[in-house]
Amino acid sequence: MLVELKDLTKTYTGRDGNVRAVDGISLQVDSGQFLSLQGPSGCGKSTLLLMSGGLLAPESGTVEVGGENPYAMNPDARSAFRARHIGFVFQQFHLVPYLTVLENVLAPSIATGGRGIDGMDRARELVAQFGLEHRGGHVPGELSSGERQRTALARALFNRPNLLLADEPTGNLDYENSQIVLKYLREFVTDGGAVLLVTHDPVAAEKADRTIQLHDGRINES
Amino acid sequence: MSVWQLALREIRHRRLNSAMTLLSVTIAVGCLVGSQALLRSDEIQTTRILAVKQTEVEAAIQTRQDEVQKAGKELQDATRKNMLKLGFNILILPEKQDTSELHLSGALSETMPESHVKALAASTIITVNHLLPSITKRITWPEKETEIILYGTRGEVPILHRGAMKKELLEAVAPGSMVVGYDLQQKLGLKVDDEVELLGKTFKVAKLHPERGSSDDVTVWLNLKETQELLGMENLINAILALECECAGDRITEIRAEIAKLLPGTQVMERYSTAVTRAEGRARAKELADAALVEEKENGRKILEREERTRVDIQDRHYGLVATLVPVALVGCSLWISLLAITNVRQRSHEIGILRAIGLSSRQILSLLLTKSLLTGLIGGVIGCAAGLLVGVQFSGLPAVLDGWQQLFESEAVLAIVVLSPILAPALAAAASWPTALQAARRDPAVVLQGE
Repeated sequence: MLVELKDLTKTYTGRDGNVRAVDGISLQVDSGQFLSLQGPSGCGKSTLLLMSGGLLAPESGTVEVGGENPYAMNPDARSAFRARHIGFVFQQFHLVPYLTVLENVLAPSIATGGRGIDGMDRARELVAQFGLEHRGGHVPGELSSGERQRTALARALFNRPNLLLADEPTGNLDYENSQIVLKYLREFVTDGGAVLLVTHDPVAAEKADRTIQLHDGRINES
Repeated sequence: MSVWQLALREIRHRRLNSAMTLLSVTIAVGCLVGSQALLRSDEIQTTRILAVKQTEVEAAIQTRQDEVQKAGKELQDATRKNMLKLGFNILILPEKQDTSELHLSGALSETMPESHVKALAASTIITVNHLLPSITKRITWPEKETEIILYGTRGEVPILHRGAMKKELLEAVAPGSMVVGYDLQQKLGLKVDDEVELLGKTFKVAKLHPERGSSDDVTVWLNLKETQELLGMENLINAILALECECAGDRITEIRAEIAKLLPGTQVMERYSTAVTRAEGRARAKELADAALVEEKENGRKILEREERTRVDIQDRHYGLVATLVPVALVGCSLWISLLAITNVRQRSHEIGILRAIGLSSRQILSLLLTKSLLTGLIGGVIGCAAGLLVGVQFSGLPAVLDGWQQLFESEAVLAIVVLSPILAPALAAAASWPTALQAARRDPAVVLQGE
């Protein structure tokens, strides 16, 4: 079992009072498993994803990734844990606007200290793997949406994580690019990694091994 | 990739924000360095200006002193020449001598020892020179049946402490010789080399004086010793003639005092003459020159004082300006850097969020933000330092020559500020950015990432 979430809850306080975004959710994801989380907007998908990735501490419950609880660590240790074990892909890509494709892919090396020839070799390898060799020297502003998302995916895989968390990765892509991204996610799972995909796109969900429906912070499993 | 590389790329990307931060640091450091350069330039200028003024004042004083010396020398020369031209003007007479006898008859009846002359010659007397012992007596020349003034003289006696005499005012009369005044030579038909008898002794006429319009015209000059023998006045004289020393003004009191100490039992008479009048005129000129010198010195002192006050006023104004400007500049620039840091962090909130998400620690995020501040601070510090030095020097009007720059850096304050500015400037930029950077580094990345 790679990821184990137990009785997670998360409440947000807003102008209209308290909103329980995640209400006692438990689930497991194994290595080599592709799990999608579906549900309407505001059902808690992204909240659950962030909690799984050690970015958002739950109000109650536990998170374990690779047998370790990131929320039991201090913030810097948690950051280092994320760098080694977890990759993130977002709908808005979140590339550093002034770094080239190659440099964006190389950025996670700052966290792990992987610099010099090894880091550059790894970055070049990923750029080639995702078909971006001819765009390696371009900044995100000069790329298409598909190229940006592939760059973000390559960056997420730089430190060879065993878990990929993707929040609506195809949300800003056309069908063709969406299929390309989903294909890469499938390959990651085939190689032994695990993917937790948040999406409201049924086409994307079809690529997953298992889909979990969320509603009002709870699971409706199908 | 390192934090430094990321920071440099971000500086290049967000040029406006970086440039404004750089400018702010440049202004702050420029004000600090420029103010010190200005104050030091003031000091250098003040020293130079006062030195120049001092030189001018000294030159003016020297000119006056030269005038005083010249006036004094002219006074001395004029006095000496006039005195020499018009002869002896001091008479040392026996105390009992009635001077009206001299004025009425041109002769003297009282006597004093001839040794008085030796005493004067051997003394350290300074108020008179050219000593001439003499006997003057009015007699009837029996052989010629005519009234004469018989004048016995042995020539001048040198005052020992003055060294050798330059020139005698009155030549000695050799024994056996006679010098005859104008009226007598005319009346008696005498010629040079004539032999004549006087009181039973034969003399040879050695010289005939030209008309003088005084008692000299009826005077016969003989050797002192022969005169003493003829009159039965061995080792006695009745006057010592002298010339007042080359000095201006009325010194008769000093002369009398000096001679009274050396020759008690004598009296001193001064023959007042136009020479003295002229000497007094010269003395007045010297007094005026002396007064002008004193005035020049006083003017010089006032000029220097005034210049120093002006320079102090200027320096005080500059100090006031610096005391106000520099803190305002430092605080203002720091606030501006803080605002720019806040703007920068807001622009980079998603970037910071994703960097945290991919594993950068809050310490690394803080380093990233502060590295930018340190780099812009360092560059701004160097530029600000150079600009401050140039502006400060230009503003003060200090000559832009090597010597001036060398003197500028002799100031410990200037040197310290220049050496420390590459350290202080980055520190200033980092300190101004610190609160914002710290807040950004500690911000929960989930808040940013969820915000989309």
